[in-house]
Amino acid sequence: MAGTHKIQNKKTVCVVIAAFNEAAAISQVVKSVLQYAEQVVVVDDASIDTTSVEASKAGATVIKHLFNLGQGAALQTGFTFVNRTWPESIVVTFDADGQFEPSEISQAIKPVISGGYQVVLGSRFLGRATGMPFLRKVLLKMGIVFNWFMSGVHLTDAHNGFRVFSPDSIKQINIRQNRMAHASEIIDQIVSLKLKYIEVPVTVRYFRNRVGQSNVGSLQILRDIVFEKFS
Amino acid sequence: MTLYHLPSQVFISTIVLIVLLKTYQSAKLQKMNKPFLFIWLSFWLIVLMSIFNLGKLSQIAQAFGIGRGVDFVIYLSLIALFYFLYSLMVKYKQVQENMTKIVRELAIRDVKNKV
Repeated sequence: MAGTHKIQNKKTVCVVIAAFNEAAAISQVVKSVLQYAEQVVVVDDASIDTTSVEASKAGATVIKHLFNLGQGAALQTGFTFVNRTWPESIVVTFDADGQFEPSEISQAIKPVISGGYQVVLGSRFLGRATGMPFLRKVLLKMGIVFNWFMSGVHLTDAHNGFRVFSPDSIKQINIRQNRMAHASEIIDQIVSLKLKYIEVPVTVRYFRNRVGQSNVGSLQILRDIVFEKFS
Repeated sequence: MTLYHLPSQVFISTIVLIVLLKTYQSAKLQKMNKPFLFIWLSFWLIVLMSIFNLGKLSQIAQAFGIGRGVDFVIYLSLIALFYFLYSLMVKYKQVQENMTKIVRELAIRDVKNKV
Protein backbone atom coordinates (compact mmCIF):
# COMPACT_ATOMS: atom_id res chain seq x y z
CA MET A 1 0.00 0.00 0.00
CA ALA A 2 1.47 3.38 -0.96
CA GLY A 3 2.68 5.54 1.87
CA THR A 4 2.50 2.95 4.64
CA HIS A 5 6.08 3.48 5.71
CA LYS A 6 6.23 7.26 5.43
CA ILE A 7 7.44 9.16 8.44
CA GLN A 8 4.86 11.58 9.75
CA ASN A 9 6.38 15.01 9.30
CA LYS A 10 5.38 18.29 7.77
CA LYS A 11 7.73 18.10 4.82
CA THR A 12 7.09 16.32 1.54
CA VAL A 13 9.70 13.75 0.58
CA CYS A 14 10.41 13.76 -3.12
CA VAL A 15 12.68 11.17 -4.70
CA VAL A 16 14.50 12.15 -7.90
CA ILE A 17 15.63 9.28 -10.10
CA ALA A 18 17.77 9.84 -13.20
CA ALA A 19 17.15 7.00 -15.64
CA PHE A 20 18.61 5.88 -18.92
CA ASN A 21 17.40 2.64 -20.54
CA GLU A 22 16.12 1.19 -17.26
CA ALA A 23 12.78 -0.18 -18.48
CA ALA A 24 13.51 -3.54 -16.84
CA ALA A 25 13.93 -2.15 -13.33
CA ILE A 26 12.28 1.25 -13.15
CA SER A 27 8.71 0.07 -12.45
CA GLN A 28 9.72 -1.95 -9.40
CA VAL A 29 12.01 0.83 -8.16
CA VAL A 30 9.29 3.49 -8.44
CA LYS A 31 6.64 1.31 -6.78
CA SER A 32 8.99 0.45 -3.90
CA VAL A 33 10.12 4.04 -3.42
CA LEU A 34 6.53 5.33 -3.38
CA GLN A 35 6.05 3.46 -0.11
CA TYR A 36 8.56 5.81 1.48
CA ALA A 37 8.02 9.09 -0.36
CA GLU A 38 5.11 11.27 -1.41
CA GLN A 39 6.49 12.05 -4.86
CA VAL A 40 8.80 10.28 -7.28
CA VAL A 41 10.24 12.22 -10.21
CA VAL A 42 11.91 10.15 -12.90
CA VAL A 43 14.07 12.11 -15.32
CA ASP A 44 14.34 10.03 -18.47
CA ASP A 45 17.61 10.98 -20.13
CA ALA A 46 16.44 10.17 -23.67
CA SER A 47 16.17 6.43 -23.20
CA ILE A 48 15.62 4.36 -26.32
CA ASP A 49 13.47 1.81 -24.47
CA THR A 50 10.16 2.20 -22.60
CA THR A 51 11.65 3.64 -19.38
CA SER A 52 9.36 6.68 -19.29
CA VAL A 53 6.22 4.61 -20.01
CA GLU A 54 7.05 2.11 -17.27
CA ALA A 55 7.90 4.86 -14.80
CA SER A 56 4.70 6.73 -15.53
CA LYS A 57 2.57 3.56 -15.16
CA ALA A 58 4.23 2.89 -11.81
CA GLY A 59 3.15 6.31 -10.53
CA ALA A 60 6.13 8.60 -11.14
CA THR A 61 6.09 12.09 -12.57
CA VAL A 62 8.22 11.68 -15.68
CA ILE A 63 10.36 14.37 -17.26
CA LYS A 64 11.95 13.47 -20.57
CA HIS A 65 15.12 15.00 -22.03
CA LEU A 66 15.11 15.59 -25.77
CA PHE A 67 18.55 14.03 -26.07
CA ASN A 68 20.98 12.32 -23.75
CA LEU A 69 22.84 14.73 -21.48
CA GLY A 70 24.13 12.58 -18.62
CA GLN A 71 23.20 11.68 -15.07
CA GLY A 72 24.37 14.99 -13.61
CA ALA A 73 22.19 16.95 -16.01
CA ALA A 74 19.22 14.66 -15.34
CA LEU A 75 19.52 15.11 -11.56
CA GLN A 76 19.69 18.90 -11.92
CA THR A 77 16.60 18.80 -14.13
CA GLY A 78 14.87 16.92 -11.32
CA PHE A 79 16.08 19.46 -8.73
CA THR A 80 14.88 22.38 -10.85
CA PHE A 81 11.48 20.77 -11.32
CA VAL A 82 11.07 20.01 -7.61
CA ASN A 83 12.15 23.55 -6.66
CA ARG A 84 9.44 24.97 -8.90
CA THR A 85 6.70 22.45 -8.09
CA TRP A 86 7.22 21.39 -4.45
CA PRO A 87 9.65 24.00 -3.08
CA GLU A 88 9.53 22.81 0.54
CA SER A 89 10.39 19.20 -0.23
CA ILE A 90 13.15 17.08 1.15
CA VAL A 91 14.84 15.65 -1.94
CA VAL A 92 16.32 12.17 -2.13
CA THR A 93 18.42 11.08 -5.11
CA PHE A 94 18.10 7.40 -5.90
CA ASP A 95 19.45 5.13 -8.62
CA ALA A 96 17.11 3.66 -11.23
CA ASP A 97 18.68 0.24 -11.53
CA GLY A 98 17.51 -1.30 -8.25
CA GLN A 99 20.94 -1.20 -6.57
CA PHE A 100 19.65 0.73 -3.56
CA GLU A 101 17.28 -0.37 -0.82
CA PRO A 102 14.14 1.83 -0.72
CA SER A 103 13.41 0.99 2.93
CA GLU A 104 16.59 2.87 3.88
CA ILE A 105 15.02 6.17 2.78
CA SER A 106 13.22 6.50 6.13
CA GLN A 107 16.48 6.30 8.08
CA ALA A 108 18.38 8.47 5.60
CA ILE A 109 16.01 11.44 5.88
CA LYS A 110 16.03 11.52 9.71
CA PRO A 111 19.21 13.66 10.03
CA VAL A 112 17.54 16.31 7.84
CA ILE A 113 14.19 16.20 9.61
CA SER A 114 15.40 16.22 13.18
CA GLY A 115 19.22 16.38 13.18
CA GLY A 116 19.69 19.82 11.67
CA TYR A 117 21.66 18.47 8.74
CA GLN A 118 21.27 19.87 5.24
CA VAL A 119 22.81 17.02 3.27
CA VAL A 120 22.96 13.29 3.95
CA LEU A 121 25.38 11.18 1.90
CA GLY A 122 24.95 7.44 1.61
CA SER A 123 28.02 5.26 2.13
CA ARG A 124 28.26 1.65 1.05
CA PHE A 125 31.47 1.31 3.06
CA LEU A 126 29.66 2.25 6.28
CA GLY A 127 26.74 0.01 5.23
CA ARG A 128 26.85 -2.98 2.91
CA ALA A 129 28.02 -3.58 -0.66
CA THR A 130 26.99 -7.02 -1.87
CA GLY A 131 28.65 -8.55 -4.92
CA MET A 132 30.99 -5.63 -5.57
CA PRO A 133 33.68 -6.48 -8.15
CA PHE A 134 37.22 -6.10 -6.79
CA LEU A 135 38.31 -3.62 -9.48
CA ARG A 136 35.30 -1.42 -8.74
CA LYS A 137 36.25 -1.39 -5.06
CA VAL A 138 39.80 -0.34 -5.94
CA LEU A 139 38.56 2.46 -8.22
CA LEU A 140 36.10 3.70 -5.59
CA LYS A 141 38.83 3.79 -2.96
CA MET A 142 41.05 5.73 -5.35
CA GLY A 143 38.12 8.06 -5.98
CA ILE A 144 37.87 8.72 -2.23
CA VAL A 145 41.56 9.72 -2.09
CA PHE A 146 41.28 11.85 -5.21
CA ASN A 147 38.16 13.57 -3.89
CA TRP A 148 39.94 14.24 -0.58
CA PHE A 149 42.82 15.82 -2.47
CA MET A 150 40.58 17.98 -4.68
CA SER A 151 37.93 19.09 -2.18
CA GLY A 152 39.57 18.59 1.21
CA VAL A 153 36.64 16.45 2.35
CA HIS A 154 37.31 12.97 3.65
CA LEU A 155 34.35 10.73 2.90
CA THR A 156 34.07 6.98 3.20
CA ASP A 157 32.15 6.84 -0.12
CA ALA A 158 32.63 9.74 -2.56
CA HIS A 159 30.53 8.38 -5.43
CA ASN A 160 27.26 7.20 -3.99
CA GLY A 161 24.02 8.18 -5.71
CA PHE A 162 21.92 7.86 -2.54
CA ARG A 163 21.75 11.36 -1.09
CA VAL A 164 19.27 13.49 0.83
CA PHE A 165 18.98 17.28 0.54
CA SER A 166 17.04 19.66 2.78
CA PRO A 167 14.67 22.14 1.06
CA ASP A 168 17.10 25.02 1.52
CA SER A 169 20.18 23.13 0.34
CA ILE A 170 18.54 21.85 -2.86
CA LYS A 171 17.90 25.46 -3.87
CA GLN A 172 21.60 26.27 -3.54
CA ILE A 173 23.02 23.22 -5.31
CA ASN A 174 23.53 23.76 -9.06
CA ILE A 175 25.02 20.79 -10.90
CA ARG A 176 26.94 21.89 -14.00
CA GLN A 177 28.79 18.66 -14.73
CA ASN A 178 26.45 16.76 -17.04
CA ARG A 179 28.08 13.36 -16.78
CA MET A 180 29.50 11.30 -13.91
CA ALA A 181 31.83 13.98 -12.55
CA HIS A 182 28.73 15.54 -10.97
CA ALA A 183 29.27 13.37 -7.89
CA SER A 184 32.54 15.18 -7.11
CA GLU A 185 30.98 18.51 -8.04
CA ILE A 186 28.19 17.99 -5.49
CA ILE A 187 30.77 17.42 -2.77
CA ASP A 188 32.69 20.53 -3.86
CA GLN A 189 29.50 22.57 -3.62
CA ILE A 190 28.63 21.15 -0.19
CA VAL A 191 32.01 22.42 0.99
CA SER A 192 31.90 25.81 -0.74
CA LEU A 193 28.30 26.47 0.38
CA LYS A 194 29.21 25.33 3.93
CA LEU A 195 26.29 22.91 4.07
CA LYS A 196 26.08 20.71 7.15
CA TYR A 197 26.41 17.11 6.02
CA ILE A 198 26.65 13.61 7.43
CA GLU A 199 27.30 10.16 6.00
CA VAL A 200 24.89 7.31 6.71
CA PRO A 201 25.21 3.57 6.00
CA VAL A 202 23.33 2.33 2.94
CA THR A 203 23.14 -0.94 1.05
CA VAL A 204 24.33 -1.23 -2.55
CA ARG A 205 23.67 -4.42 -4.49
CA TYR A 206 25.79 -5.29 -7.51
CA PHE A 207 24.23 -7.48 -10.18
CA ARG A 208 26.29 -9.74 -12.45
CA ASN A 209 24.31 -8.94 -15.59
CA ARG A 210 24.42 -5.17 -15.10
CA VAL A 211 27.24 -3.01 -16.44
CA GLY A 212 26.67 0.13 -14.39
CA GLN A 213 29.37 2.76 -14.66
CA SER A 214 32.31 1.48 -16.66
CA ASN A 215 35.78 1.44 -15.13
CA VAL A 216 37.04 3.46 -18.10
CA GLY A 217 34.39 6.03 -17.24
CA SER A 218 36.42 6.77 -14.12
CA LEU A 219 39.14 8.28 -16.32
CA GLN A 220 36.55 10.47 -18.03
CA ILE A 221 35.38 11.66 -14.61
CA LEU A 222 38.97 12.55 -13.73
CA ARG A 223 39.34 14.51 -16.98
CA ASP A 224 36.09 16.44 -16.39
CA ILE A 225 36.99 17.30 -12.78
CA VAL A 226 40.47 18.53 -13.66
CA PHE A 227 39.22 20.62 -16.58
CA GLU A 228 36.49 22.16 -14.41
CA LYS A 229 39.04 23.10 -11.75
CA PHE A 230 41.41 24.82 -14.16
CA SER A 231 39.03 26.46 -16.62
CA MET B 1 68.62 37.15 -50.11
CA THR B 2 69.99 34.30 -52.24
CA LEU B 3 68.62 32.29 -55.14
CA TYR B 4 68.73 29.23 -52.87
CA HIS B 5 65.90 30.64 -50.74
CA LEU B 6 63.89 32.01 -53.67
CA PRO B 7 61.56 29.00 -54.38
CA SER B 8 60.51 28.66 -50.72
CA GLN B 9 60.08 32.43 -50.41
CA VAL B 10 57.85 32.50 -53.51
CA PHE B 11 55.83 29.50 -52.27
CA ILE B 12 55.29 30.87 -48.76
CA SER B 13 54.55 34.38 -50.07
CA THR B 14 51.84 32.93 -52.33
CA ILE B 15 50.22 31.12 -49.40
CA VAL B 16 50.40 34.24 -47.23
CA LEU B 17 48.83 36.38 -49.97
CA ILE B 18 45.98 33.84 -50.39
CA VAL B 19 45.41 33.87 -46.61
CA LEU B 20 45.39 37.70 -46.59
CA LEU B 21 42.90 37.75 -49.46
CA LYS B 22 40.58 35.28 -47.66
CA THR B 23 40.93 37.35 -44.49
CA TYR B 24 39.94 40.48 -46.39
CA GLN B 25 36.86 38.73 -47.77
CA SER B 26 35.83 37.46 -44.31
CA ALA B 27 36.43 40.87 -42.76
CA LYS B 28 34.22 42.49 -45.42
CA LEU B 29 31.40 40.11 -44.46
CA GLN B 30 32.14 40.87 -40.77
CA LYS B 31 32.81 37.26 -39.98
CA MET B 32 35.74 38.11 -37.71
CA ASN B 33 35.92 40.19 -34.55
CA LYS B 34 38.47 43.05 -34.53
CA PRO B 35 40.94 41.79 -31.87
CA PHE B 36 41.21 38.41 -33.59
CA LEU B 37 41.56 40.14 -37.00
CA PHE B 38 44.42 42.29 -35.69
CA ILE B 39 46.29 39.29 -34.24
CA TRP B 40 45.68 37.20 -37.37
CA LEU B 41 46.91 39.93 -39.77
CA SER B 42 49.91 40.74 -37.58
CA PHE B 43 50.96 37.09 -37.53
CA TRP B 44 50.88 36.71 -41.31
CA LEU B 45 52.63 40.04 -41.91
CA ILE B 46 55.41 38.93 -39.55
CA VAL B 47 55.66 35.66 -41.51
CA LEU B 48 55.88 37.62 -44.77
CA MET B 49 58.58 39.94 -43.43
CA SER B 50 60.49 37.06 -41.87
CA ILE B 51 60.83 34.97 -45.03
CA PHE B 52 62.53 37.91 -46.81
CA ASN B 53 64.72 38.72 -43.82
CA LEU B 54 65.75 35.42 -42.27
CA GLY B 55 68.78 36.99 -40.60
CA LYS B 56 66.58 39.36 -38.62
CA LEU B 57 64.38 36.47 -37.50
CA SER B 58 67.43 34.56 -36.27
CA GLN B 59 68.60 37.66 -34.33
CA ILE B 60 65.21 37.87 -32.61
CA ALA B 61 65.30 34.15 -31.83
CA GLN B 62 68.79 34.44 -30.31
CA ALA B 63 67.58 37.26 -28.08
CA PHE B 64 65.21 34.66 -26.57
CA GLY B 65 67.98 32.10 -26.26
CA ILE B 66 66.81 30.06 -29.25
CA GLY B 67 69.31 29.13 -31.94
CA ARG B 68 67.36 29.29 -35.18
CA GLY B 69 64.65 31.63 -36.39
CA VAL B 70 62.51 28.79 -37.67
CA ASP B 71 62.62 27.06 -34.24
CA PHE B 72 61.41 30.30 -32.69
CA VAL B 73 58.46 30.40 -35.08
CA ILE B 74 57.63 26.74 -34.33
CA TYR B 75 57.68 27.30 -30.54
CA LEU B 76 55.47 30.38 -30.88
CA SER B 77 53.08 28.45 -33.12
CA LEU B 78 52.84 25.61 -30.58
CA ILE B 79 52.03 28.05 -27.77
CA ALA B 80 49.40 29.71 -29.94
CA LEU B 81 47.92 26.32 -30.89
CA PHE B 82 47.64 25.16 -27.26
CA TYR B 83 46.02 28.43 -26.26
CA PHE B 84 43.61 28.15 -29.21
CA LEU B 85 42.71 24.58 -28.20
CA TYR B 86 42.12 25.66 -24.59
CA SER B 87 39.86 28.54 -25.61
CA LEU B 88 37.96 26.18 -27.94
CA MET B 89 37.34 23.80 -25.05
CA VAL B 90 36.07 26.65 -22.87
CA LYS B 91 33.70 27.79 -25.64
CA TYR B 92 32.54 24.21 -26.20
CA LYS B 93 31.71 23.93 -22.50
CA GLN B 94 29.69 27.16 -22.66
CA VAL B 95 27.74 25.88 -25.66
CA GLN B 96 27.13 22.58 -23.87
CA GLU B 97 25.84 24.40 -20.77
CA ASN B 98 23.49 26.51 -22.86
CA MET B 99 22.17 23.45 -24.68
CA THR B 100 21.61 21.71 -21.35
CA LYS B 101 19.58 24.66 -20.10
CA ILE B 102 17.42 24.61 -23.24
CA VAL B 103 16.79 20.84 -23.06
CA ARG B 104 15.99 21.11 -19.35
CA GLU B 105 13.55 23.97 -19.80
CA LEU B 106 11.77 22.21 -22.70
CA ALA B 107 11.50 18.99 -20.69
CA ILE B 108 10.04 20.72 -17.63
CA ARG B 109 7.60 22.83 -19.67
CA ASP B 110 6.42 19.68 -21.42
CA VAL B 111 5.47 18.15 -18.06
CA LYS B 112 3.80 21.34 -16.87
CA ASN B 113 1.77 21.54 -20.09
CA LYS B 114 0.54 17.98 -19.70
CA VAL B 115 -0.59 18.50 -16.07
